Amino acid sequence: MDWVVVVSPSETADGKLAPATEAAARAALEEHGCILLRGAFPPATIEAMHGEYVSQFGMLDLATMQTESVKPPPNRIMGVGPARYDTTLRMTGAFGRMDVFANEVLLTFLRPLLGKDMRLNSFTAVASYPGAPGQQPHRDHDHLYPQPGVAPNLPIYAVNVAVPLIDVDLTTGPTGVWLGSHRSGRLVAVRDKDMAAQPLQRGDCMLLDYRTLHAGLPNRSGQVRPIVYLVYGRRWFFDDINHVNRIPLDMPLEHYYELPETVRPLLVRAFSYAMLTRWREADMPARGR
Amino acid sequence: MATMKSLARPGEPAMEWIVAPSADERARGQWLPEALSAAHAALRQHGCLLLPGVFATSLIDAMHQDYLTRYRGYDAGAMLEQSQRPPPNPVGPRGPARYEITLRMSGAFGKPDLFANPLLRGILAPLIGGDMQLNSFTIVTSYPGAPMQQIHRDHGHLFASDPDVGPNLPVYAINVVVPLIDVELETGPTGVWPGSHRWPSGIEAQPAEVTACPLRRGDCMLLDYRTLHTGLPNQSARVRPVLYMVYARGWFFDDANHFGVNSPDLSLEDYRNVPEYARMPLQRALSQALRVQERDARAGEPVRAAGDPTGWGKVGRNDPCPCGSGRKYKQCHGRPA
Repeated sequence: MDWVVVVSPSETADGKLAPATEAAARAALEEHGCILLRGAFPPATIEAMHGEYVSQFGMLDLATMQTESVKPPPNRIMGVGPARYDTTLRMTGAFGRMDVFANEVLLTFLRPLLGKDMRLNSFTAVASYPGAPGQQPHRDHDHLYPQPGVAPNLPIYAVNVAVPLIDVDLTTGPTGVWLGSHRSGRLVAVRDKDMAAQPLQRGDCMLLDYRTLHAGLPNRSGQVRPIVYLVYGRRWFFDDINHVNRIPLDMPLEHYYELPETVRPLLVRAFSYAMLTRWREADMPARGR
Repeated sequence: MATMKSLARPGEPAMEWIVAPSADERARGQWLPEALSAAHAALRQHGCLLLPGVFATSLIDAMHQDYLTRYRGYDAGAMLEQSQRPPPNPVGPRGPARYEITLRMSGAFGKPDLFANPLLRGILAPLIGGDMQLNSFTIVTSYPGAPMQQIHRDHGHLFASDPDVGPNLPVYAINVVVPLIDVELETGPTGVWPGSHRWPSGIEAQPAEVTACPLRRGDCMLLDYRTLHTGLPNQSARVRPVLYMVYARGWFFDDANHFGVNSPDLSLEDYRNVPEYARMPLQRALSQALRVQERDARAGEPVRAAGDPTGWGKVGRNDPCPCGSGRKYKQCHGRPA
């Protein structure tokens, strides 16, 4: 079974996969723990997102990024390997558009997997700079329970949606995956030759079961390679590994209030993070006697 | 233990969900293997466990005094008014004359003997992992006249769309219930339905089959987060504050009960005063505190708007124009005037 599923322009425009496409995508994600949806986003949307990325972080060269990343927490920039940085994106401009974080093609596909009450956990980008070496194979999060008889057989609990902002060929370094590894036990050794990788074009996105082993491949090009990661999870899932000590979902409260009420539950953690700043003793002064 | 009794389950030995530490175990802060085994067996079988005398009564009394200093002036009417304010609001209603307060972990509520109590940790860590986290830290106060709560679970089964999965999973979170006063049956302790953590969703508990017993200062009840329970009516004249500390596996998040509130609410300064040995369950609290700091630091930060070229900084000639036009920068805002 192929892990690459092509989304037609009419499906992208309609915001819904045709039944045959959807069935192929579901079966592939269940079997491989990973699918590549070719052409899920219109290229113009990706161009606008890249523009927003450049606006927020384009002025940071490698040295500056390194300097920023080693500052103590709270820090929106985290090193995730040499010349590779994970940054929390401000959900403004193109990053605040509903066709990005509440994309109909994606939500229609994800809801049956993660529940109607699924939440957006984080909205970040990982940029690899020229010269970045390959990452170690890793899971975004381990199995929920340590008991070997329990965890690998559980249903999916979170999906990482990787959206490249530029065309990523094998020189620029896409994400390499070990297909089927979401069902492997906690301690599993993998071989490079078993890794699958595909060049990515603007408009493509990869959906990774949060348990699937993967690695960012080396960036041997002269380009900075930003990939946006949107992590959708079950309502009760919280990623305590990748986003400690920083806000991973950064939407201005004003923007949250502008969202349709049907979309707000998806973004409710952004609301919670925004509320943190307004929490004061004065909200409920002590009243002893 | 003579003061404790089981209600409405006359055929069942009341003691099987009660495990009392011996004086020696209390002094050493460590369970003997048999007691630990009994406690785990009870919690696995019943989804609830009563541990009498785990906390020093002096600690409980200090917390109660601290509670009174902060909230004694809030009668039921004032608390109702506070609960109706928009978020962020540390008070939420939990039924008529019953309120949940997210309180700062400071003063008597910031003592390691409380949240990192060795006897408590000895029970919890083998069940939900040594890296368990304190998820929330709140008080539920019932005022005189508060009726019985609706019977509820703190959180439903995981993977609700697969009904065979959730009830059979190991425990993912445990609510530790610590009364700040002696709670007689008329004051309204927590009533539980033993074994209900394994019941599928949709099975209704019968009110007549509730199990409850009076609680003394120093006792605590441990509830599997799936166990059906209720706050019993407060038919006394006393205000009944009960502290709830929820410990969970690191990946669990309860946004059904603690939505839009900063719980656990621990300041960075107070975190730094916590001894190293007691910090393990506070990683999430620390993260929250740092996020508050991040927010505060950026409160006045201007938003770099796509329409404001003065905030773009250096943009590559061949990069997309930050204005979002879709054109290259050199062909758009970067074009020589």
